[in-house]
Amino acid sequence: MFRSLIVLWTVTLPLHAQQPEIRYGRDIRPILSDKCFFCHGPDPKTREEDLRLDIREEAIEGRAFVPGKPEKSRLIKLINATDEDDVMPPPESHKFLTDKEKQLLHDWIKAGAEYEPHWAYAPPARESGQTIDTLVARDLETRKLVFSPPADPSTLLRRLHFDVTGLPPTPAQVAAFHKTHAENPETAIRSAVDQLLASPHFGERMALSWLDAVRYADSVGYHGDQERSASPFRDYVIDAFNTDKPFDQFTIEQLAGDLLPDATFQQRVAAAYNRINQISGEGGIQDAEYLAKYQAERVRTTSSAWLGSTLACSECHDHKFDPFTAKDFYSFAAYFSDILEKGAWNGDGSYQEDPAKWIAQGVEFGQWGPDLRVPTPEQNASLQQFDVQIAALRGELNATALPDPQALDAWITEQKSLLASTETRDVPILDETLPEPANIDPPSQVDAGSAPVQSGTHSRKQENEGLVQHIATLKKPVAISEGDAFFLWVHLDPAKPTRAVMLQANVNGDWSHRAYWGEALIPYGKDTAATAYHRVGDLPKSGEWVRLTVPAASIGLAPGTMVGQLACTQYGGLVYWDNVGLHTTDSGRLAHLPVEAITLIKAEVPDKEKLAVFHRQSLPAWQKVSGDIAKLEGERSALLNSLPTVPATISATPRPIRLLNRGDWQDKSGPIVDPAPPAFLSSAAVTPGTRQTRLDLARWIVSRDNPLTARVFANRLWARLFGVGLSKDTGDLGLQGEYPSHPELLDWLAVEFMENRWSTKHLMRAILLSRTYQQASTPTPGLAESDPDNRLLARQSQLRLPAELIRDNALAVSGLLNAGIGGPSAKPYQPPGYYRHLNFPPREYQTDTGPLLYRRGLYTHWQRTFLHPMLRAFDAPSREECTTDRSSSNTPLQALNQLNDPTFTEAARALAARLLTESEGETNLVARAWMQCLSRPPTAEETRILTEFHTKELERFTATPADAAALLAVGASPAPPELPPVRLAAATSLARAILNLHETITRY
Amino acid sequence: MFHHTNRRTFLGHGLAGLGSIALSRLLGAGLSAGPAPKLPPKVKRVIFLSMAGGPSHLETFDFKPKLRELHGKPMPESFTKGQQLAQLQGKALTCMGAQHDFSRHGKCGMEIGNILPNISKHADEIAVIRSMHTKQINHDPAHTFMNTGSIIPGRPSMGAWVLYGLGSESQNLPGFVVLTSVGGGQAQPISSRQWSSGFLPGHLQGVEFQSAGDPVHYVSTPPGNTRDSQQQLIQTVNRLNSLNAPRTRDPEIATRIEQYELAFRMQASVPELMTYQDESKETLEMYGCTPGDGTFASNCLLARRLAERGVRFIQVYHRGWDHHGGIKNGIATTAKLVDQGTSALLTDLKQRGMLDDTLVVWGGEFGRTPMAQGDGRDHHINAFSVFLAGGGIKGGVIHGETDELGYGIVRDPVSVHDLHATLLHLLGLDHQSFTYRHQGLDQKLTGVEPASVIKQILA
Repeated sequence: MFRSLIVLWTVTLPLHAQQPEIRYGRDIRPILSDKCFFCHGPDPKTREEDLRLDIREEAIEGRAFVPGKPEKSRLIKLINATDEDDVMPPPESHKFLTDKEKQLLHDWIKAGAEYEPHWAYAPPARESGQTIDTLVARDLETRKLVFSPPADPSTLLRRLHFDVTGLPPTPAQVAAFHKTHAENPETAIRSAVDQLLASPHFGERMALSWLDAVRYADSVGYHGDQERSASPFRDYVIDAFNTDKPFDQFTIEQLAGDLLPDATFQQRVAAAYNRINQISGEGGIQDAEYLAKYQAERVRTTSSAWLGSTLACSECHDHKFDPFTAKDFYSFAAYFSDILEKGAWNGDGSYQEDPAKWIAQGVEFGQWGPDLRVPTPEQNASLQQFDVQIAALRGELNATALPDPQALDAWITEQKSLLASTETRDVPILDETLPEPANIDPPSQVDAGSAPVQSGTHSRKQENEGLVQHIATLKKPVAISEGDAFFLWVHLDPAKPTRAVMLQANVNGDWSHRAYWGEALIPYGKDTAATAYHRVGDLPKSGEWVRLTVPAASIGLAPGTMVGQLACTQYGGLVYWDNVGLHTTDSGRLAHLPVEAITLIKAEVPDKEKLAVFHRQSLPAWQKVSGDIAKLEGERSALLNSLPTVPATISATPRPIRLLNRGDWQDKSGPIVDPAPPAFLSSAAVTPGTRQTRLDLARWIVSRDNPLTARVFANRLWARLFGVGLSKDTGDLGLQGEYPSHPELLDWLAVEFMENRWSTKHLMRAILLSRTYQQASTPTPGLAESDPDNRLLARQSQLRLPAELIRDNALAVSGLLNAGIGGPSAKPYQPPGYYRHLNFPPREYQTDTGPLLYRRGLYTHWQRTFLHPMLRAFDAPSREECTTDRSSSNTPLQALNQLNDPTFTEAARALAARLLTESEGETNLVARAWMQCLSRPPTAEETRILTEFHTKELERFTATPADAAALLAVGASPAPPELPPVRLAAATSLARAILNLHETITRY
Repeated sequence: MFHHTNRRTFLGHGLAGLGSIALSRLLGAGLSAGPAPKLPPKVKRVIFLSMAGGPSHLETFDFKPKLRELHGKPMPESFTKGQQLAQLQGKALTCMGAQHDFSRHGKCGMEIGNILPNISKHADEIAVIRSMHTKQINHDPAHTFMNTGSIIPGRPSMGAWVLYGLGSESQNLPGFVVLTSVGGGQAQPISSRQWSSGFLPGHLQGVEFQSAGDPVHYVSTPPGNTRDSQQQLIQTVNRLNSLNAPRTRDPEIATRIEQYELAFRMQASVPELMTYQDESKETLEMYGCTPGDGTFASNCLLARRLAERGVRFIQVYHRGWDHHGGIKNGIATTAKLVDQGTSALLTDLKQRGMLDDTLVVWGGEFGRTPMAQGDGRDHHINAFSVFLAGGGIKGGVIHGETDELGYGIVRDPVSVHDLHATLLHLLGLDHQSFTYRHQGLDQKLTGVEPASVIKQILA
């Protein structure tokens, strides 16, 4: 009974208006594509009887049908055959034709069996003089439907807020809008739209779905799913939408920002798109296998995010439905083969090119490859401030007076005798008295005014309850000579004793040269080679400077080895460190003197003018200033190191990309392919002799000739604003995708987008200002039955808020929201132990404190394998892969989350406190709370139900004040002490009820 | 649990307003989520014991005397030439014989490793497949393949598929539950992707029960609230929501009301589930654990309790089979942690008459090399063993055969897709027609390559 009712509606109100003519693209191809092309389509490997139906000429030649004569057409005979051996599609395909489909095929052949190109592969075009509303109205008319009335002002304002900024309107904004709306609705709406589009929260709202598409996350994804910083990319996306960066430029920067001539820093940040894919550091994995995985993922994501195409299906075979070939897939992958990367990030993998040249250019290489450090404008200013200060000190240094001639002569004589001597002596390599002191990270220099100092003007203070270290990067690597020993000066604090000190030397990135004194508590190198964990002896006496020594040979440093960094590590206590160097007989290496100075001294007639400059560097006045410079440089580099990084895309020698037989990465028999766009989509031939780049790919994607990109974006924007795309599957506009419900409208939007400099704000504004968008969302009973998904657009849609916005809304109405834009990802409350299945290393989630707890949902730390349970419960994707459609489920886990997650309980308490602190106090509490959360006053019935609940809770908490106290203690923010706990607790319960309403998390 | 709501979503039919017919239908029980079964089902539910890390078949279910003979000798190159290896890539390859002895068990005389003395008692009830093979040689993608039938992250896991196909019989617990324990070997990480719903609707995802803290996230009411006050709150929310239903004609409201009621029931049923007070002393002794102690045995007991309560798919992970080194002691330790619980589960289900309509699967994501890796074994994808027991399964059967060194398969290879096809078959779902449309394709758990039901192990 129920079912037949639906069937009835479907018959009387079909999705596509009844039109006399049969259109191939809309009516016929979906049938052929779904039921026939698998065996009679583009893929020759699975083609049967050498018959293909996707090309008219070949179908006729293969005698599939005779245009105009269905009765003579084999196709018609076979689809109507009763014999199991004859009937098409064959029973084992599990595909069946309905009678209606058979009739359509029959009528189509009778009418001449005309083909037309697939709608999405033809350039979008539009009739002049049309608008969104005229196109929708025209379609409604054919179905004898009309637009719904406009949404009431509260609903509309709320809809605009959630759709444009993702944050609810305040009661004051609602009141103001009502007022202006009463005067002139059109002006009021236009003004609200303009204000919202200008808000910096617009970029945040837009970023949500774009970050899904380009799979932005804060962890690597595979296996150990270690953290990998990428937040500057997320902030780039937010900023791009806020500044209305044209979508074509936005595309080019993400795919190839690094390749643009004179690429700006932000463009290079944008290019991180290429490297925020999932990667793996699992032990035992192989480079080539994972490179194949990464390249396939990039094809999947790029083709899906921009082209709405399932090119990825061609990894193993020519596409079954669309004209993509396997060669297209690998040619597309080849665009990305220049990205400097490894397949296996476990120590076994290698780059396609020696990274030395980029290291020399100052590119930083972290655990997951090259990174960019990205400062905020404020941090940039601090860095510049450091530069100014350092430059000033350098000026001071250069102005230091030169020594008088007699002192210079005496000094030269002394140096000559030192050079001649064969005695051993201490040559510092880590001390601020050196002409070019090392960079210390973290900066720990303290001066003689506040601390014991052994040499020069500064020592390095280090204090911790456990493991702590500072690393010194030498300006120039130091060579080890035969017989050298390291010396280091330490001053152990008797009141805060340490338990172990360690000196480590780094040779070409290898830290396995360690000497320690005291207990074996420092884990680095423990249980490895003897020279990587060499115990020299007990800790020295405390309370005074002690010189420790260890032969270079006993920590595995052979003569000729170049040491580039030193690390000073301790376990517990307070230690001052100073003057590390080599105890050496090497006469060519003199204290404080570079090689040039030694050459000058050795000369028969020393150049006194030049030597005076070197001598000056050993004077106390010089050393004081140079010590200060070293300290500032240390602080500068510490700031630099604290900046968030983003994976850098660096273009290196492209790896050869082979067409892999059935996607098998071990098969080396396929031909090497060059980068090229999918053949059937590219009108312009690739210039022979020149290799295409990612920049060419990006420009092709956003060229006016590309029929897909603008449609894909417009369709997705529509899906976000109406709940469903004009073509339903926003990730596939190919032959298996859906013929659009309103093809002319989709084309109109695509052309409007491109003709207005690909402006997202322009396209948004056009939709938001349409009558179609501004309709009420309540369906008539008939529409509710016949068009539950709102494909006809005779109303707006009713949409549950996305996960992030549910959080944002609760924080916003309660006043807890930290509205800051951008920055490193935040870690709000999360159930303990949620990361216990992570390993390498094992992890415990560190909840943030203070304002970081109240950041918007899109800033939540995105751990791919264990996404925050709240986001996961409300259908946010893991972002392991490109996601273009979020499902919208409705589950008990969501109810449990909203009922019991401390985030919502705390928000309820904050909302209650906010209301009780206002001048009205408890007056009209229900109505005010309701207005705050829902932008409308409650009905009498709603007020009655809530007041009843509030009264009961007040009675309960009055009877058990301990419960009130317990409820108010939830969350890190304190409850205002001046409010009576029982009344605040009861108001909190009231707020919890409202925050849990379906209406609170729905945009109508 | 969330069956009813989604039938509507799947079929694209909107229920008008909140009429009484619609409401009773929404609140009704026993509706399935996806397409109805097309075959007569043999079992109602699955308990999948996932031996994460890759148990060595050569110490458990596949004894190779010849490998013992060649112990310490070079691995014949004819076996390994051109094959993908994991950590042994490019190293000298030496044979390593079974590190533990085997004995024959049951009427069928099945050879099982002595490290599994309790499982051995069930030789006549289990069907061992010695000819499993997989495509992925590293843990993460191999798990993904075993659970979703695809190496591309983001596809639905088998539990989600089964829930989609059959819905849940439980009124107050999730239909797909995941339990985990750890110990005995290197604990490889696992991702929640392994129980994801992928492109299927989100409510089909597996719900992981935690052994510490709230068993289900956010199942406890906030401090200062009681069960009664929480009920008052939920009733208030639902009354207010229902006022809005006729005004908006938003079909999700009815669903939301139902989900809040379900959530409330879960807040009671989950603690009840986890109290174990009704378990007899004999039962507890059989499992040999303190209930709720987070061990594999305790999770097996919990799995049975979940099965009793109508949960459709229960996946019990034990992370601890990755024995690259020290396999002799390591695998004995892991086996000891798993053996008694597995055996107790089989016995317990049988005693309660539930083994007839439950499918139990035991196996890892791959096997281990016949070649030594120091004193351990590396990952191996060309052959490994799993066993099945329960409804529709022929006991005392060994299916498939590996070569004399346990390296490759010589008879009846079984792919992961074949295993999935068999699992679906037993549940009454034809793997070829059980599809879900995504990105223009009728997607299947068993993928595009041909797959077949393993008829030889079916009763």
